[in-house]
Amino acid sequence: MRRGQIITIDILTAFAVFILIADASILLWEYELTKAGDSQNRNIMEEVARAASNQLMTPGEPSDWQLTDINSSSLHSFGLTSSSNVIEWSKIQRIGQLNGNQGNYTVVKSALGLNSWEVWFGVLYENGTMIQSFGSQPPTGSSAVSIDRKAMLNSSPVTVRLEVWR
Amino acid sequence: MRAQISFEFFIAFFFLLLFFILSFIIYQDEMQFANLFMSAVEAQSVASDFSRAINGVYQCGSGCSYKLQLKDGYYLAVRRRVLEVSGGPHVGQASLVSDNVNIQSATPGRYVTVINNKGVVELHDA
Repeated sequence: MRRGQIITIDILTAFAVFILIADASILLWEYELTKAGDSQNRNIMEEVARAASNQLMTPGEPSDWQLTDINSSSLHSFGLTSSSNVIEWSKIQRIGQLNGNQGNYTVVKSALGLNSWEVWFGVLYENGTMIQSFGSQPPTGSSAVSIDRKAMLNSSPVTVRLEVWR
Repeated sequence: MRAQISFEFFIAFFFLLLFFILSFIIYQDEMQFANLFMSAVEAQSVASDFSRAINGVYQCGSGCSYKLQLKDGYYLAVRRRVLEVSGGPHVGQASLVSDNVNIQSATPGRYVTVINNKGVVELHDA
């Protein structure tokens, strides 16, 4: 009887230890998968932000979009420059006019390839003074991707800052 | 005395067996989840590769081209500014910066040329 009890206790102890190890493995597995998912989402967000910031440094299509009413079928792509790394002043003025309207915001972010994300971008002087911006800045604590690009505006160096978040 | 030992043993063995069955079910469930996750990652990876190529070629300007292989079992489609890659149970999606994208042919397993033809990005088998 004593030997039998010892064997049973041994089995139950091993069983309990095995449950603990198995549970820990499952929890770790799920944690790693969640972490991998988060990491992948972050990579995707960085990639779309990079593509959108490159797009801002193009004239857009049509290249004189600032002279027309924009909508999803007329604006094939969005950009702020007139030539390589030279920001066009009239486009800066136009984004000031477009800002604050949800319809325009949707059209512009879609034209930047950011359908599933939120976006804010601005053109700043080197000392940080904001010249013009579009969209609303990401809420505090959100995991946003921010990309700065150097450009020229009326012969002055400026920074084009783009922030993307979800 | 022997019967008591056997009875205890069988109770423990029953729980052990039950636990193994439950473990197997949980393992299968986790494996299925992991496989679905990997399949989603794979589809997303193909979508990201092609969207990077399409966006790069579009931004580069007319005449620019790029060649990359479309993995076997994956199919490309463009809906407005979203590139969809289907293959397996998941659809990978990636954003495009222009809606001027035209897929002429993209056969799974073959190399695909992405070329900017006067502002329109065209994809065709290499």
